[in-house]
Amino acid sequence: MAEDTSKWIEAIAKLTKLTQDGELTWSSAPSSSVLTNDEAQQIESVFTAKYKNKKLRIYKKRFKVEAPDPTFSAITVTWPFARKYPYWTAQIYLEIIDEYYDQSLWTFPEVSALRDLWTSVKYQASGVKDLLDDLLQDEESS
Amino acid sequence: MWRWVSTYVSKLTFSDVGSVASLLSLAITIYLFHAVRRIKSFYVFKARVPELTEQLRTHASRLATLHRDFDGSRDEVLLELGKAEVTLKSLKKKIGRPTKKSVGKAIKLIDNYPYNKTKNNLWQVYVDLQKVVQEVIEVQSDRSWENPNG
Repeated sequence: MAEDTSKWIEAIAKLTKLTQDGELTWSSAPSSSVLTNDEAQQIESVFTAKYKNKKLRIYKKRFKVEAPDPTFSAITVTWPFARKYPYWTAQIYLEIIDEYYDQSLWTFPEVSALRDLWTSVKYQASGVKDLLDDLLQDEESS
Repeated sequence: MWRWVSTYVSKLTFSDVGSVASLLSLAITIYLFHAVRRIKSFYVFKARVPELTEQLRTHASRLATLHRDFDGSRDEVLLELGKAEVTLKSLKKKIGRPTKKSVGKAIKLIDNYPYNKTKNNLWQVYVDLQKVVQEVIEVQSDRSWENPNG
């Protein structure tokens, strides 16, 4: 694997760790800052955080994948494990954005570790932990 | 030249022809053996490796979740690491030499974890699993353009 990819994985894992430890705080942001939803693509949620004077944005985009041009699809048709079109898939984007205009300045490469960062961000921003603690505390006191 | 060939061929006995044919068939058998092995490994890679990669990704994600509540999930961590190791060992048999090295490194980290069960060590295992997953995904992308018939 390229050394670069390895460094990105370590960086994203570090962000996940900081998020889990509460050293990086994410808050929900409007999806309109990223893209307008339409029939072919939808934004699930958007979160932003500040890390050492850099503003980060993470979001999940779901998009529809249409069948490729039949001229070039001979291999796909004969392959028994080929997917059926159209189908929906999702990708997580992590970006450094402009502090004032929220414009994307840099997009992190798509690596598998982004999924876990996304889970940690959602867990933190939704306040699930507090809710669980409250619920369990109420149960104990009643 | 032609005269030399015709003189040489006319001197050949049935036994010589038989020997040449037998050597030729041995060469063809060796070639076919390698071709079949290559095709078999191609289809095993295509069908099984994506499944194992997804399993490994799930184990890594589970470990990241357990890391959040490390003190309360020490037993579950060991269980999940055991499952990840099984997946890694299965994956190791189906991939090429460069990726085998990364898989071996991750297996070694998992093996050493019980001797030093710290939160940081668990995180190191997680990062290494993610590296293996990414490496295999990249190999899959490269091989998706490969022709199984060589």
